Amino acid sequence: MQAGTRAQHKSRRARAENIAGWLWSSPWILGFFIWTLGPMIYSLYLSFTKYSISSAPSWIGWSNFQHALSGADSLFWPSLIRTFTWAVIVVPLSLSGSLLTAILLNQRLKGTPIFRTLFFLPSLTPSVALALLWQWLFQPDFGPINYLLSKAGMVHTPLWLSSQYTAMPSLMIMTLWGAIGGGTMIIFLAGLQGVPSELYEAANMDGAGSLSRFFHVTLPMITPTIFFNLVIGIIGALRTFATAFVATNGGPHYATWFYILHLYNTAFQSFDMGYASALAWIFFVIVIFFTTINVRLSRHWVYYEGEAR
Amino acid sequence: MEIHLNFRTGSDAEWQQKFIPQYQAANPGVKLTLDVLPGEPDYWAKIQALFATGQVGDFIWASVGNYKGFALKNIFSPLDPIIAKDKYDMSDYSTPGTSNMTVNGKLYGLPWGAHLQSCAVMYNQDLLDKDGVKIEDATKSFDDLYAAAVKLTKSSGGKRTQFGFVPSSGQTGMLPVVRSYGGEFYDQAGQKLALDSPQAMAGISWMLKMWKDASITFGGGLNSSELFANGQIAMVHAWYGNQFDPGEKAINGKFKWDIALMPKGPANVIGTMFTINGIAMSSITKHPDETWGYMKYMMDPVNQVQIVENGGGRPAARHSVLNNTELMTKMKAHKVFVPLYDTAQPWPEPGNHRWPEFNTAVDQVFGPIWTGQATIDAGMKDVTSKLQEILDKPTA
Repeated sequence: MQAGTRAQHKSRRARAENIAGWLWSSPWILGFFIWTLGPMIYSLYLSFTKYSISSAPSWIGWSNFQHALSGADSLFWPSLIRTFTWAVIVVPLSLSGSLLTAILLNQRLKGTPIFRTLFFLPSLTPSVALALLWQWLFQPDFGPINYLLSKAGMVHTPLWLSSQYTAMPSLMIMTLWGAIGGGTMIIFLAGLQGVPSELYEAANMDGAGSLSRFFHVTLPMITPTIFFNLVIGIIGALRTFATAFVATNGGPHYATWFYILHLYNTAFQSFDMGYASALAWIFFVIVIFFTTINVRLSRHWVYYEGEAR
Repeated sequence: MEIHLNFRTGSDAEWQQKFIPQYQAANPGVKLTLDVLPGEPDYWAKIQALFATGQVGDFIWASVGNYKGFALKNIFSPLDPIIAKDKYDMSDYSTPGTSNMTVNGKLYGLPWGAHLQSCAVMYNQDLLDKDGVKIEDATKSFDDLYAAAVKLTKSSGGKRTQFGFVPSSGQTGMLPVVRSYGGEFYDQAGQKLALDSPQAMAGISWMLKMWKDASITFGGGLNSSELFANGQIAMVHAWYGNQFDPGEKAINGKFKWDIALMPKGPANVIGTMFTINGIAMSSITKHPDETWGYMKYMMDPVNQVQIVENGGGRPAARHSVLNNTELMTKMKAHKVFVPLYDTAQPWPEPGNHRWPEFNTAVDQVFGPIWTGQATIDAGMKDVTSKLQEILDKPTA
């Protein structure tokens, strides 16, 4: 076969493969355009309108965004700050707790598989069931936690979910209980098991202790895993909704009124669909912004094997 | 032809399963399809979305929670023309029933189920007897009720083990008390908050005393009906539905119980909040006559008695239902509440029709006051500002 014909043949094959690739991906792509991108574009349009479903949208320009960002909506900034505070506290605790648990479960000890299952089980609890369970545990008058605390001698037991001061910490405890042994831990476990054992052998031969091995071998090697969990963790924390909706309905006194709960109530209780769309787009921009910062900063601390620096 | 019925989930919809086959048997040619939608407030968002897409039911369950706003948005069809055409006799309907369903002079629905919110006391007779408390004495005045509640509250090891009285929360729980003291939540136009009046403040102070001295912790996620059924609460601020929730089925003979009206307040009135779970006709129905046929069937006193006796709904605001002998003799709460129906105080509609949003905010802002984390003066400043902000919003 001549070189020219071979090249043509290769080019035809490449084109055919290309077309096949697009065809196989087309159901997902079509679905993305119809069910995701299309509604997103429509919601972007709605964010510039006054719209309450029962009548046609009427264009009001940037008013919805001004209403939110100017503070005219007295719940906008507090709910945003509250959501970020939540993320700043819960994400590091969840990551460090999950990593510690993964390290413990990575030990080759008898019964490790059983412990892995036990630690993972809470994460399988649906968020609604989790909220109901902890509502009972935290119940100030009859709940087991306050019962045990009073037996231990505490006179004024906390009000937990009934107090605007302890409601947020209570939700954090609920969330961390389910999060620490869950998917994040599993991913960390996989990351830990992917660290080449030769590195530990080399470190041992150089006389490195366990702490030194952790900080100079384990941590650098699992930075990609940490980065992935960090990004997913931040996005998940900013989207907190179900536990607050079920356990406290955003109370007491808006103490757990997170951003997505505010968006939900604006849309489905107040029927301000145009304004709710604006809230959704503000949130989208914020998440993209923080994810971009995360990705940019990751170049300075995430180590990928085989990466030339 | 097919008529679609939109009902919220729960006993209202469950009873349709029984009535639909009976109605279809009596009306061949009419097929009824029941579309069970989520409970409130999601129910209203669903109705709006279905209306926008032309898929809303012909027959719509419509409680006062969003009734007026939807009537003004022309989601419901006025019934006056069809009532006149059918020569339907409305004389049996109570005035508060029809006036609460009338918007700008037009009747948009029928008062299928009506109640007065929390204006009664459900009490554990055995606990009252143990402490020598007579309900007739306890309900002579609000002060007497408070004194009885405190007497019936027991503690052990610094923790309450028995609760004297658990108030109802939200606007539906508070307004009857506030009205008993002569106050209101807002002015008649529903635009200006009126909770700072001395009368309203007196009612709120009474509720605060109860929460503080005789009740469970507010917002603790406890179901007071379950606690009552377990014999841990002596008295509960009750409404019509409490005769079924918990009801004899849950109490199961553990103790004797009954229901009595709240006392008259300083305004010489037992405060009420007339609430209707109405039924309406969609403005885009293609089968108005057939839909009207089923609406009349739902309002029929014979069917009403069945529904009410079995906890499927509240009694229609019709005298033949309210004064029905069977309901009066067989049901604990019915005979207690009925004397108040004809003089019931109206449903308090905010001027901008944002009642669900307002009611959610009521529990949010009053929570710190009920749990003692804010003093009543400091708490009420916050209450006033947050609730007025909602009343100031444009129409939903």
